[in-house]
Amino acid sequence: MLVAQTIAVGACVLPASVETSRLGEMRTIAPGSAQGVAVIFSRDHSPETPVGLGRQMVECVTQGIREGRAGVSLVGETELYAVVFPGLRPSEVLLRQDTLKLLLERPDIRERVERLGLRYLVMVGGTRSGGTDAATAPMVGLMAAWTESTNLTATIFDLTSEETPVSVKAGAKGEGGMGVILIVPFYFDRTTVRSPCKALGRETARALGGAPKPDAR
Amino acid sequence: MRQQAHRVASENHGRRAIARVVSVAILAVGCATRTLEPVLVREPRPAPIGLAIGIYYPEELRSFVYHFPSRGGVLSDEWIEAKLNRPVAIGEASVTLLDRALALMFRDVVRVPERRSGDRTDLAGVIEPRIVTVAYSRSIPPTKGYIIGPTMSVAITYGFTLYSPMGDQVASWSVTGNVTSPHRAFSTEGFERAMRLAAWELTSGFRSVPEVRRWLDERGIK
Repeated sequence: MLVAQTIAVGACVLPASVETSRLGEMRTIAPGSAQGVAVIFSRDHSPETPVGLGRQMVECVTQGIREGRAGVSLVGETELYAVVFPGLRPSEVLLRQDTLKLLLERPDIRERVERLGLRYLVMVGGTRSGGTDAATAPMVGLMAAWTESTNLTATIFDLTSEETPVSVKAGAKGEGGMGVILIVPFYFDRTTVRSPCKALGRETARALGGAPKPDAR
Repeated sequence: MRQQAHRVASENHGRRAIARVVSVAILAVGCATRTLEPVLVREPRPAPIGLAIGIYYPEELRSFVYHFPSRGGVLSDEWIEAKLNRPVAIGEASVTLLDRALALMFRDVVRVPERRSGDRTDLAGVIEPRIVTVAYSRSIPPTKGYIIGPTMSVAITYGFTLYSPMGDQVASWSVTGNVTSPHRAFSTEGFERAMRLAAWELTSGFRSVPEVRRWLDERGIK
């Protein structure tokens, strides 16, 4: 689709510039300790996040950790719920920062978390916002333009400690436009989701002790 | 250029309005209420209370139906949504949800026809729930247009009164479930999630109500 647009109307799609930041530092992993990490999207943790974006973020962060050689093993969301909360649907479990402590205080849940080898829980969430505008000029052309910004966060909980979770953030601002000027159609876009999503995955892997290539995309 | 832009916007608005009128005519046919299926939070679960409790659902709660208010001008987005959204049967779903929530909290839960235990001498008291407020709003980001979409907020507040077996008031408190999320047209999800959070506030905060705490202490419940 994009290629066709490029050929037919002179379109370009550019990655938006991404800013990343990290709040807090992870404790060093002790040799032999559980090193499992699960990445989940919980609407209780991040209710403002659209479901599609949340799922995309889970994929990005999982991929980032996998490529980041962080020395941790990934635990799938399905496995997490099946082992730690057997017989319950995910919606029957309230997973937020305040309830995580309550859950981990329970010996039965703590035992199941340890059996799973789970040490880190990464909860993702983000928002997208933007606006559109349109204009026409007689005999010259017409145009629609939009701006968009995306802010993504991965919150890393160390289930073996009660320390404040580490927050990794990635954000981007972009703009796009399409229209016709003197019968020549045009289209341009600086996408704002894919780049910060990948950057979030890389930064999360780094926070967990990984060392991905700095220029990895 | 700006005037032209306004004219284009105005023409588009006119076309949208016609489409909306047609939609209203078609969809207004189905006026039945929509049912809800809120999920009960089972983890973290409350420490069980080894008492039997009665639950009295007043008719106002059981039959409570939320009608979307008509806000804004005729054919505005809010007006259209109010006309197209069928009423939501919150009371009916609340009965099921609260039955399950109390079953998670108490050893035994029995429905009773009034605010006292009557023949059931084994009941430690009777709880009467009511719906205090239901609020729904939809907001659009303050930009000229929007590409991400509006958000919606739903807040549901339940009030509860605990009566002694003889019908004397012991405690009264309320819980609220509040949800703000991306708007999805004609979805009941916001209501279900708000009810879910309100029920969680009930199960997790019951013992924290001072009068309830005293009532439990008197019965040797820690």
